[in-house]
Amino acid sequence: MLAVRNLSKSFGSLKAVDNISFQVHAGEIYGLLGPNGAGKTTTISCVCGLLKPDAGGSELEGIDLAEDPLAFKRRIGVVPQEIAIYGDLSAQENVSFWGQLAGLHGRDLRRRVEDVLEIVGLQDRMKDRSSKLSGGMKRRLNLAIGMVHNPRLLLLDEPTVGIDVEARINILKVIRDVVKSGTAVLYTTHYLEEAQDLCDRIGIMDKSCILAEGSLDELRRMVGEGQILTLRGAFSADEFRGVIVEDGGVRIVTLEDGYAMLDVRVERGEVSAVLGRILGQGISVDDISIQEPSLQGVFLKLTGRELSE
Amino acid sequence: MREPTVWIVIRKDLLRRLRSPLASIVYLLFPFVFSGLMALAFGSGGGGGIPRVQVAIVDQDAGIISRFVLSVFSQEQVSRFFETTQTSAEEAMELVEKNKVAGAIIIPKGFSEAVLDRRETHLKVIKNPAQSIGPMAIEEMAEMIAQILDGGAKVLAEPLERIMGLARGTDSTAPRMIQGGFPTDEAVAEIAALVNRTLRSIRHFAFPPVICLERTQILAASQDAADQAESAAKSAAAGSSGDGGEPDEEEGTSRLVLIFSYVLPGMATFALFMLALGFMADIPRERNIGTLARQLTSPVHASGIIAGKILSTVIMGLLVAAAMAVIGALLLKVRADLGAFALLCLAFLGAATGFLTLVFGFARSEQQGSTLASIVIMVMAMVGGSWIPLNSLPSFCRMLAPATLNYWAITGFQEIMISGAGIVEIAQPLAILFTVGIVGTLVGSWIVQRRLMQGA
Repeated sequence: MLAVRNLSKSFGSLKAVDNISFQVHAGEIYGLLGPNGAGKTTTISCVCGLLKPDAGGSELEGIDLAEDPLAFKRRIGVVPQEIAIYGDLSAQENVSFWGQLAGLHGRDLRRRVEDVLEIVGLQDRMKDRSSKLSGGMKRRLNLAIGMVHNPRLLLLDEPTVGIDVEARINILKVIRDVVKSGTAVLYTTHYLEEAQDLCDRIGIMDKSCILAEGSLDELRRMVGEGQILTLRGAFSADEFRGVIVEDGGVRIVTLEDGYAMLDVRVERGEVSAVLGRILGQGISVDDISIQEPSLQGVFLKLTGRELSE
Repeated sequence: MREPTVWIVIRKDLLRRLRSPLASIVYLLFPFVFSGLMALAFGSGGGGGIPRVQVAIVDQDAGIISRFVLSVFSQEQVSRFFETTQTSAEEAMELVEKNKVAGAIIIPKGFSEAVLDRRETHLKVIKNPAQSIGPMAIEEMAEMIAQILDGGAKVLAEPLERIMGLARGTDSTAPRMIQGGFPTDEAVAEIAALVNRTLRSIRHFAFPPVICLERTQILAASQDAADQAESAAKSAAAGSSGDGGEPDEEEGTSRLVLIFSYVLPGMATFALFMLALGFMADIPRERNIGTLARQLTSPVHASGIIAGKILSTVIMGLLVAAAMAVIGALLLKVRADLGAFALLCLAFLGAATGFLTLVFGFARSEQQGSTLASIVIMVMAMVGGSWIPLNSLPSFCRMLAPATLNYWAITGFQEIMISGAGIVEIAQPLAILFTVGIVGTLVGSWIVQRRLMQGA
């Protein structure tokens, strides 16, 4: 459905997006996961036609953005990271305005406005001024605006930033429901759990590039099935290095005085053996945590650092 | 069928303005409040006008000339500017010290005799140091009276000598001419003949005066209408009650209306410019909150969105201008060409929004744009005659004035309101304002679009 090819965009000397390519299929949620400043928002801005890329381009259902921007934009819905609504208009008037810009009018517009406000659970507050809504409600309204014209592709740029857990769950549920109707979703986030739970495929972005992409399983396989073993205690880095020998089963990810992070291969049942070796050598450990193979681990292995929440 | 983007944006922005109408109401009322205050302060209407100078007069002479001095202050032309209190010297000093009067004039004992004898005498003026203009006016007035008396004493020297001789009995004909303490008919006739002869000898200088002061008051279309309306009302009142009305009040109202007519266009122009600034600042404001970028992700042309923003400002400005026109017409009874007025409003608002589009196109933030635009608008208002009438400004300001939008708008509005001009007569202001509007809008819109697409 959406094909992004060799997309690059710079702001002066700063390379924001560097030659990235990916595809999003119908009925699929594709997540762009990465820390702040990785280039996710710039990518979305280029895909929705807000920014003109320096190189590469986007194609949706065979329509090239550069060649026919209006036809391309008619098929997309954008939910920006900021809550881009008019506080002095009601929820209904807000949705209606963007519906009209998308080409809806008359009875069709009224019906879609009501439907989409019901989907996001704002039907009871549709007449209220948007400025009077809570933060979570504004986020839902922000989402409703992007969906009012039933787009083929929904571009969501960190739509759950700064809201409480309940509101986040609501929004994620709405997105899952939208996808069931065949809509494709391009979803950017820096929340690992969100990407892990929601996305069918994930592209891991860092420093303007996509480092790896695929389903969660594919990503895990790509970087190995290791568990992350984290140890905290009253030990020195040198003392620890004397105990652990890096081989095919164990790899030191981070090591400093009082803190060690190890990548331990699961299939070889090494975790208990490694732990036994450490404790047997008299290393003083106060806290042990074992992390199952996850996106955090994948990100860690790809970038050498944790993706902070 | 899909609605034009421009109309969708206009409707949305007008709805937003109606939801928060306070700014528009303030811009609407501001020119009337300010112009009204100016008219009341500098006109003579509203029962006020310029406050009269309070002056205490001490008549220690109680003679024929001191009564003449007192009578000068009771003349209608003088009493409009001076309010006198006749009192003693001590009380006059007390009034000055308590700042109750601007000054005092003391006519000393023997003043009349001295004047009639053409001896040197003094008219004393005590000035209140706590006031500035009033004491100066009293001094000028006293000097004028002294000059009149001095001139009169010199010109009418012969008749005065005869009168004094008869009054004191020093004249040899006094026993015949004064009987029972009163001059006889023969004495009066002789003195009258003397006065007549003196006046005849100076008739070439005094009748007519060499220099005449010609006073002309330009009657505005609005004032003319106001006068006509008031005359009609007064005629009707006179017809029913037999009262001819009060000319002072009528004159005061006309002056008030005239000042209002002169000040209002400048203030209205400034208010409309500020209104345009408030609304056009929506461009960077929407850029900040993300709604502008979001609109650009819709299947519409950016030019349609920006045109909608500009036109909604112009429409809002026209609505406020229309409301101003209605209030102005009710207050001033303006007999103006509505077509010319509407076209000039459109031209000015077009020029103002075009100029502001250009400013906000270059500005990096709402704050930067608003600050820059505010400074330029203030300067234009000052130099262009919005706050102070052009003819009261220094020559370099008058030279710069045509470079401002306010100047052309005010010129046009005054032509319409005061001279009753139509579209043809205001063709020059219209052409200049429309040109600025079109160029500013086109260049400004291009810059705004370009910056938006660059992610700025």
